[in-house]
Amino acid sequence: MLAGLHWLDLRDQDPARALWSVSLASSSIARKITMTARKCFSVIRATSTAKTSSISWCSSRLARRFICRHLYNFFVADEPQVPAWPIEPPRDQKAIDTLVGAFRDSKFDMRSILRVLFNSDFFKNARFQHMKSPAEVVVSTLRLVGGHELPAPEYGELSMQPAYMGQDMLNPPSVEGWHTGKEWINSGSLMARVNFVAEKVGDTSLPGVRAIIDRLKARGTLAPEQLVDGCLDQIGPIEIGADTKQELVAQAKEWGQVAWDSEAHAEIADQRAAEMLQLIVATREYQFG
Amino acid sequence: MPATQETKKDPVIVVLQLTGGNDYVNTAIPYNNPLYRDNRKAVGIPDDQIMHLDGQYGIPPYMAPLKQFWDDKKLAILHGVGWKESPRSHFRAMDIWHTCEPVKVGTEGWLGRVAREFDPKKENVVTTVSFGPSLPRALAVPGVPVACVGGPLENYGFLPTIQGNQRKQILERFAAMYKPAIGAGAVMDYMADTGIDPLKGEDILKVAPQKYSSTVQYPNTSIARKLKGIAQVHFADLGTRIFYCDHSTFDTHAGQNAAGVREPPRFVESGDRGDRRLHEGPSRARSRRQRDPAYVLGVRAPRPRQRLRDRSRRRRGCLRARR
Repeated sequence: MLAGLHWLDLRDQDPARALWSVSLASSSIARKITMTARKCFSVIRATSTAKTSSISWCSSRLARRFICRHLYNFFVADEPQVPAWPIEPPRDQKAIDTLVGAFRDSKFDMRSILRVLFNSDFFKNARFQHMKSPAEVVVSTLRLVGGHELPAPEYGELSMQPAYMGQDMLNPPSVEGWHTGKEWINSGSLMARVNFVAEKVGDTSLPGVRAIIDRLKARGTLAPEQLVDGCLDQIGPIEIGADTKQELVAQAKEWGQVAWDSEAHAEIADQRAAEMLQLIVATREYQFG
Repeated sequence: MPATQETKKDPVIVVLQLTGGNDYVNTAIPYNNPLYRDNRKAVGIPDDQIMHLDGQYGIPPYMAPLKQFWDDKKLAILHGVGWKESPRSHFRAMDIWHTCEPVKVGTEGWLGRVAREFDPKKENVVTTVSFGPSLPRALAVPGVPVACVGGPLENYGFLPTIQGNQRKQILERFAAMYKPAIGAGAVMDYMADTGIDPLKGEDILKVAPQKYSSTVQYPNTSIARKLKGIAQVHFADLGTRIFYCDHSTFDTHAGQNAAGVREPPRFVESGDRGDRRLHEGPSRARSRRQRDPAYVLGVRAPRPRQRLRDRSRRRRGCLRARR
């Protein structure tokens, strides 16, 4: 658990995933999952006779693999859709083997397996490999922009946002659940994601956005590249591709340098910073967690 | 679409997906068959409520609107539609259903392949319009644009909060950022198409509501909004050939389900289109039935001249042939 939290402090970019890992790693949820897993296996064992013991072994082995692949899919990188798992091998067989080994050795203790996962190289090196789910998009955005800590009338509408992006919470389209990864993205859901996040980061009255702009302001007059780098740094930090960055810089150059030295300048500078943030959250890179 | 529309325009296909399981023997009730009563003691339709179609089959009262179509000879029921070697897995069955690939694992949706036939050069980004927040698997084919309209058509478009003279410039920048780059990977390329196509489709689709006027009162339900959107786009003559919507499982106003035919709670839910058991009961583990009925509705519903013989348990073929 400590290892997981330590990692979160250091490098997590996505509060939604962090939230999950904290709750998984530390709270009673981890114990519950562990208990459930143990119960499943003991049921399999209890119902098996000598004749079917090989089936029992096999199914618990498969169950371990299945659970580990789910964890990998949630935290590390997008796997094929679940129905394809019996046919398609994992993208990183060694990683799954590591997790399965840890799972077995710890007698199905969820904290141990997460500790192994968060400390692994395959986890630390994963970049642009995991598409944020709509819930992750909404929660991470709200935490970034702030101002939504307490219940307010708009909460009903906010709670619908993941549904507009294709994830109606607690109400999956079928018993299969949602398809993840690339399948979160289609023309409508991409629009919903981009528009929602852009609307939030473009609202300079929100405390989180205000704080970002204030920190940019503290850097003094910003040249175009500095504005882009500053925004990328403050909103994440986020890594983006060279081509994307080139476009952002080109846009910043159109605006010229940005300064908060007078009231008239400050108003424009606020607007420019907000627009830059909006462009950043509209990038493809931002869709990954 | 009304029959009068089928004059000069290219035909269009409108798909309304009803996600969930269909209870075969409660939607085409073999009411004379004693096995029905034996196996459906609790989840059966009482005799006095069954609407008889012919000497063998009836429909439940909640399908009453279909009775009129049957009497007008506009409805046919095809029994036992399915495929050989059903995998008996719900997930695999859904795969097959959406890709039409019963043997290998298909990656391309069947209707997306049709869209590619309609518009192989991607000349019209609104050849296919889907209403709903997710891309139906049947439409998912790499490189085939699908305009997914999640909310009202008027709001279709990127970054609506940026307005004024900035807007055009910012959207051009957006398009440039979504340019496919060499070596960026399949997912990035997919996202490139997904970002740029709706940018092109935005101006086209937004005008559709202005061109549409109707005396029809649409109820305030999710499905009604989708169907209205379909009507708007269709009558705006944008060249759209394929419309897709699903009867979503959520509804913003709980209880306002009047617009469509929803599955009533009496259905035994085993979650699968392809497998439906005869026997009610608590266990959902084993499905016996591999095939389902298909209801064909419309002016050109097929009417085989010859009545096909009832083939034992699976009752393939058309159960009634009247002409």
